[in-house]
Amino acid sequence: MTTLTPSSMLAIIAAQKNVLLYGPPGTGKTYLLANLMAILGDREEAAGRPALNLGDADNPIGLAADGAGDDDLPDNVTVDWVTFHQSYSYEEFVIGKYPVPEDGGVKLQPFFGLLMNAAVALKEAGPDHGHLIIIDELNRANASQVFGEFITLLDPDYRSTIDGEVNPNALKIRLPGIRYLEGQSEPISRFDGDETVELPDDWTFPENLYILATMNSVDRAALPLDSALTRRFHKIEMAPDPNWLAEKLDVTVGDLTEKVDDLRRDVEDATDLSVGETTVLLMDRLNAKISSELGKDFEIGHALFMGVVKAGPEDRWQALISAWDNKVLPQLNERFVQNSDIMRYILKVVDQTKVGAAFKERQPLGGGVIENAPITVEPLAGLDLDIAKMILRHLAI
Amino acid sequence: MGVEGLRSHSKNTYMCWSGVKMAKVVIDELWAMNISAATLYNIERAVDDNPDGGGGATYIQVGKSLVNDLLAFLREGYPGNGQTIEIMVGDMRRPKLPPSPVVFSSKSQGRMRISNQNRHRASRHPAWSPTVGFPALSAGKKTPDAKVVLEKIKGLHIFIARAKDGSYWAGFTTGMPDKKTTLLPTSKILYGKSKGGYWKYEAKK
Repeated sequence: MTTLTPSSMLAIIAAQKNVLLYGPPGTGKTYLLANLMAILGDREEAAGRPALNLGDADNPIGLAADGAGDDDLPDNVTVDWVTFHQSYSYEEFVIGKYPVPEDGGVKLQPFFGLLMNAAVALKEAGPDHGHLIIIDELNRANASQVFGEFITLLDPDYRSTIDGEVNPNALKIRLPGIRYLEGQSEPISRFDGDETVELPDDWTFPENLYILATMNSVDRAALPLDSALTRRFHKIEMAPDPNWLAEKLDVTVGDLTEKVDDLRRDVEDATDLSVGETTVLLMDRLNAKISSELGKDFEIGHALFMGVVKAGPEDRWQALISAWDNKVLPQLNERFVQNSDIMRYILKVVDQTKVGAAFKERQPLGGGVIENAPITVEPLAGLDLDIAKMILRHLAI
Repeated sequence: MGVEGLRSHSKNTYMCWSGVKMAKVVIDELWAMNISAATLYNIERAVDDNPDGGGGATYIQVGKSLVNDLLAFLREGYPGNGQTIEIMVGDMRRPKLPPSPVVFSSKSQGRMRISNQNRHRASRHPAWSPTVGFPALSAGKKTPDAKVVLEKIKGLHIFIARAKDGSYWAGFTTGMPDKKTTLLPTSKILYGKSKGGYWKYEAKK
């Protein structure tokens, strides 16, 4: 296992230029983006600024930002954050024309989108500057349409420089839909402010533009990404991490593995399970089933149990009950809304002596059996605490 | 907090973002001073090791060339006879210890002193204690022995830093900085043959 520190994450961005984080909800993708934003902010503020490493006898003084200077990013990195959605377009991301008043009428004025605005500013700023565009929910928009021909320029091999050296293979760009006269483009407005820029017809894309995108692997409504786009991203899967959960809840996974093996032979002893052990086992059992039915992209993330981690020892059972009612169960319903057999298995509905207070097969009025009956679910929060604990322990093993 | 499970497909490795950060304190100002063999001897000298005709010095002497730097760091004027400047200073290697006083006073010829730093006769600041690796001399050792010790560790500097929040922290450095640390602006006064000095953060304009 390789430890990925925030600084090594920045190093991956520096090396790969385009990084895609993908995984199911609750695996910390957006949390990671926010942390990187904060780190980059610190990094910029603390460039060359010393800090005491308290408690570190070997290296008493270092750089202020964690990892600052460890990566190959330029000294000055600015960041844009954009969330893609169904209406997000090429005109907003690359270049578009918008009506502006002129001589009592209107004219169509070209405006740089987010990407070109950053690229033009970077070329002006010089090689010690970089720009990171964070794209949350990359597949919520039609990404191929949004990037357009600029998909090619995601490839570092076609940018103006490689490692600061002039790249003979850099692509010279004439922007589509823009008039060029004597080697210069018509004036194009910047994304922000009134200033316009005229680009030469041999303009090349800067090296130090980075893209970090996220993609929710569960969301069926989102659009699939085509291979031309995905192959230009370095992909990192954000997977549910039971070991992280175990560590945070003071559970030793090795001991728990032996314990649960015994418990599965004699389920009456499940009262021994602590709330931490129950949480870890519950996530593990649910994900084993989800993965076998739908694939691992659909597993539930450890962040759904963050409330249990954050709760004090006295409140952890209540936090687990709340996580089950409000976070885990809705995710299960979303995945298996059409398949009561799987829900029946997950909720152990046949063990009515254990789970009957919360989960039942729906029956017709007056009794009887409905084939493939839907499952009715009561929130555990409405039950006696001991009964809710018994149900959760039973679901976990 | 801040651990996420990450798997990189294209590299086929499994990674865990530990997110563990060591406590860092961004500093605004730092004053540093090279410790000479004579000074190390003075602050290590055993109780029965006295020069003829007196008890000998038990302080760290601040040479005249570093006094203005020290006063700039302390934001004080030169103390008059009998006056002291006292600050409460944490031990950066043991940040959980409560801060301890460091007392400055004047000395003849425009010099200054950091009082009561002989560890056998006074209560030296814990940041400069052998417990945290500060060089020590065994009983009976003299200035030439201190010189050997300092040559072996390639120099010794004490420092006091003022953090962004106004707190003071003391520590020491030995030898030469690694490649990355060399680039820090504070390294010019903290390592090698530098006599020490004063560094202040200037915000970029």
